[in-house]
Amino acid sequence: MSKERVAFTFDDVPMQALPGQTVGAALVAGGIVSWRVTRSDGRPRGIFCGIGACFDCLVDVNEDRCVRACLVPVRPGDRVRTCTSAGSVGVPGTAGPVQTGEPAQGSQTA
Amino acid sequence: MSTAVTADVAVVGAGPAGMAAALAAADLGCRVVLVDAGTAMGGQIYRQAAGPDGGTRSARGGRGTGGAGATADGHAVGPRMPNRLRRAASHRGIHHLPETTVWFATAPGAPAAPDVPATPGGGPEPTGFVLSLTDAAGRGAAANAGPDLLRARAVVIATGATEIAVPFPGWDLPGVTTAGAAQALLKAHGAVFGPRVLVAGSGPLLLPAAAALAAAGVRVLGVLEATPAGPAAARAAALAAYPDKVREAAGYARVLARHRVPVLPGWAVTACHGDRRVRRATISRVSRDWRPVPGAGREIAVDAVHASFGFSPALELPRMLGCADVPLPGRPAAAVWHDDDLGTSVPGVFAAGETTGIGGADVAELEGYVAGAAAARHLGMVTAATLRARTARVRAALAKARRFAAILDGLYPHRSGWLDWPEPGTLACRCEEVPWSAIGDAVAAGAADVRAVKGVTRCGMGYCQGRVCGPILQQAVAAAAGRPLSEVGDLHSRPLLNPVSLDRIAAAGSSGTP
Repeated sequence: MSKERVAFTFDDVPMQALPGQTVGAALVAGGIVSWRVTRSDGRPRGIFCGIGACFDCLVDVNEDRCVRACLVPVRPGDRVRTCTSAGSVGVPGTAGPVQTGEPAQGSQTA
Repeated sequence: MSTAVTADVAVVGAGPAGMAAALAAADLGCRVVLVDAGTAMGGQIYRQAAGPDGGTRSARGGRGTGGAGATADGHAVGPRMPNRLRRAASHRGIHHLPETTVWFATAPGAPAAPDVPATPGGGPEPTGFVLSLTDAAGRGAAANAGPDLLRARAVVIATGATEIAVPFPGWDLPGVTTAGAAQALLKAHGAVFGPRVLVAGSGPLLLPAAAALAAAGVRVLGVLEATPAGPAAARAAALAAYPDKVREAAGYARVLARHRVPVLPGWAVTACHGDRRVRRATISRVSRDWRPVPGAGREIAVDAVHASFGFSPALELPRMLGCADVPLPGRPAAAVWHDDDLGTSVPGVFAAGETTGIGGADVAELEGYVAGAAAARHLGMVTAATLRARTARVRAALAKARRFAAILDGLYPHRSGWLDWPEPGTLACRCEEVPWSAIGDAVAAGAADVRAVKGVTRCGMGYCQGRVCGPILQQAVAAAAGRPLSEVGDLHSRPLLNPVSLDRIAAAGSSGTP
């Protein structure tokens, strides 16, 4: 199975995706449910609509800022980062992803 | 560098409606360009599994499956794309533009799009429709190797629908998603939230979504369908004329029973709680109008909540092209007006699938065949008599499928009791972080329709352009102002169909040749 996986990093932490899997799906499968905070109240955001309509899941991928994680397929070597360009900079104590710390919280079924 | 492609027929959206329309038009000799946001054809309903063998991943059974429908529970977890549609992927007359979205569109005679050179190549002014294209996910020019412009003599709009969400305390916590999101993550990517989830809301999506999750090994704690069982059971007798649909529903029920998932009609998730992700949900019995029954709520521990309240046709593109629409009675939604040939109020523009009203995959596909053939007829590829003859059987099937859709629609009425669920600080608009109380305050201050409330509160001015909060705002304003849903306006009209970066617009505007 392992050679089927695509390696990428999320905030410099090595992660793996299935070929063709979107960034959002790979993060959820890796137990990460949030990768941006809102600009006013610093509320965490991740996948909501899952089909590109809601823009909650904005994430930075390589040089592209604020792309929709639910639509962008992971490509080998992608550097995925918490989306700071959606206006969340400067909210103290709120930056950074929410990690569950519990592997079973999200999972890959395939 | 601006590049353009031309087509006889531009089909926007590659779900069953768009694929069928593309096939029908191409079979009649039209050159078709099929634009779609996805990486592969199929739309949301026939979403293909990710991977090099996408869409053909074989069943492995139990927990180790990710392909749509391809699990130990077989078809019970979702329909597979019919082979008659798969032909679209290899049809010589169909040029597929994946991962692409339309962000601007003009009809003949309308002012030019911002990136349309006045006289391309020094030639005469182009006639026909011009669609401006960009990468669907919003990546920069480097990622978007596809064309910037699509010129076409006819357009088929098959852009589907978006899920209606309703706000409740904690609905913006990570781990709370639409039911469609859970289905998309699972079907295409084998990824799930969990291990303990609730599926909630109302409508025919809840059972298949819950069954797919259960079959994939997720602990579905319950399916909370806000509509009570009584009237639905009575009217379900009307479904006897549709044995294949009854079988499909029975399949979902079997999967849920096997995994001991309780289905609770007349129940709702009315609040979610947690620090930086959902940890607990308040579930409550609700009245026929979806109002919480006092004292009937309790909290349970969850890892995710997937909630869906039906669908709203995507009207951005038809509105931009000037197509008239009609309200969907009783729902915070409207659909594209069309004639018997799926022609819209704009000559040369046809619509098929969920944009014409929520009818499901069968209606969508059948409408697609008619719309594609009618587009070919519009371009003079066939006579009106040929169009009639070629589509006679499709039209008969479509009439029957629409009757089923109408029955289903009647089984899941959209109620207004959810207006009691939010607290004053609950967000009405997730993007602009507009609290629920601001809507009522604006109406009380004299803002009597959706546009006025948007202007006062910023609800609907964020990234999603009102796609999520539009139906919410429409229903909230109608209730607060005491006006009918169809008279308060909506948020479907947008100056750009999708957010694009300024450098994308600048690059388009400075391109000298197409």
